[in-house]
Amino acid sequence: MTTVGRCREACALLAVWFAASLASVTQAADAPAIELVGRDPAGHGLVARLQQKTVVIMSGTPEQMGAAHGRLLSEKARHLVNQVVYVVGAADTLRTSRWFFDRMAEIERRAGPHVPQRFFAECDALADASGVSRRDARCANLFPELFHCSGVAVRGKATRDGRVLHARVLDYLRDIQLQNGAVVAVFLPDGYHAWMSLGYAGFVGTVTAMNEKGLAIGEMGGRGEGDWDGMPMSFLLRDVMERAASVDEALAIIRQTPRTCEYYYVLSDKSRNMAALECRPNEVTVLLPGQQHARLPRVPEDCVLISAGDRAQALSRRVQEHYGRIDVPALIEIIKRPVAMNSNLHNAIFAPETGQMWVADAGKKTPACDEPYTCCDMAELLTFYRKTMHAERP
Amino acid sequence: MPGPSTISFEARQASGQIVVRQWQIDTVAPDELFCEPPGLECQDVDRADLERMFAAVLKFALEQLP
Repeated sequence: MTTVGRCREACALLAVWFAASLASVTQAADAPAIELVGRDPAGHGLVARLQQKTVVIMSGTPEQMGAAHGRLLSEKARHLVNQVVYVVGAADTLRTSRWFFDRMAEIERRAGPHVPQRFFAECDALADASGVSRRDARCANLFPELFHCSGVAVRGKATRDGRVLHARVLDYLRDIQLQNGAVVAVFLPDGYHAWMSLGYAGFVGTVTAMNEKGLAIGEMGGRGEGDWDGMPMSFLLRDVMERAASVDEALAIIRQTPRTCEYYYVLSDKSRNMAALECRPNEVTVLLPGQQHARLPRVPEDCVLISAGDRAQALSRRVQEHYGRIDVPALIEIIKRPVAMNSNLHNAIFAPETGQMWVADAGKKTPACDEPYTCCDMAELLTFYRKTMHAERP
Repeated sequence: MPGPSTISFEARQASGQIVVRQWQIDTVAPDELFCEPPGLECQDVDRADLERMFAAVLKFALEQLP
């Protein structure tokens, strides 16, 4: 390709959403309709709209899911890869004085041996189907996310009805408009648990997810950049979603897996178990509900929380103010600024017992916490997918 | 001078002023202008990747205009 051709490709990024048509599926009277937008011609995925959100659902082998993802979201995936690899890559090169692609090659060399082959196979198939180079797709998926986020899970005495509710605040890169490629992605991999992620076109890992077993997880970044000899965090969380059915099983996987850098997690499950984790490559610290930590403000009974600085103080204070009355609307209020940062890219509220996830993405100029939430019901999405794909067969 | 002698800018967390010492228009640019500054560490990188970075950053900057 010529230089002009490359520049044209790089500049021609206005997303042209492919033709929307087809059918809509009748939902329960009080549930928002899921509108079918497009099907993967190979029969391994579909794109739908749920209120204002794009939902992509994929099933099959890693190669089948990756190819479906790439075909269904090709424009968005190309845009996202371009933003992450080339815009963030340029900034990273200036910040570190190291050529971005050299750093990414080092990460792949060191982390690659710890990544399950099925994830790279899916990523490569996605790249081939969407017209992104395999190298760029892997770079986008391996990019070291240095998030500054918050997470909180509450249950029992803290909530209005005793059920576990779990909020996840992602504060990162709103300025580069990653939200333009935001999708709710539902994965039905052969031989593993189905799960859904609040993620981005072109990304096969996750930082915000819940699976069909009622296990939810959200990640918060820490330090330790450069400790790449382990499974990249976003792939580790995907592995947890696909193989764990409870907080205890998730903990076992996280402990057994070689890990990179420093990350914090809040986990919860439908049995009302929950935990906050501080993970470094060589140790995992588990904070149980109500357990105090020197670096956190007061953590009330039946609560776990992870945040930092003034945001953590505000989070703790608000949880205490709403204590005993916390429901989904209250939790949405609790995580508004200043708990969320101005860079707030997306938020999710999980209800693991009912398989529901309320999601909000940043607007063009507004943080996610100020945007409306959409409720994604895992069972409804799976039913929609199976009915739609079944109806497709002769 | 055919152009401004100073260009001021303000971003969210930074501000600055670029002082233009000389404008050259419709003139032959000597190759030396495009040489790397002396004394700095240099690294050869893939030209296509570099051009895509410039293109992506330029597009992103244009998108930020009101």
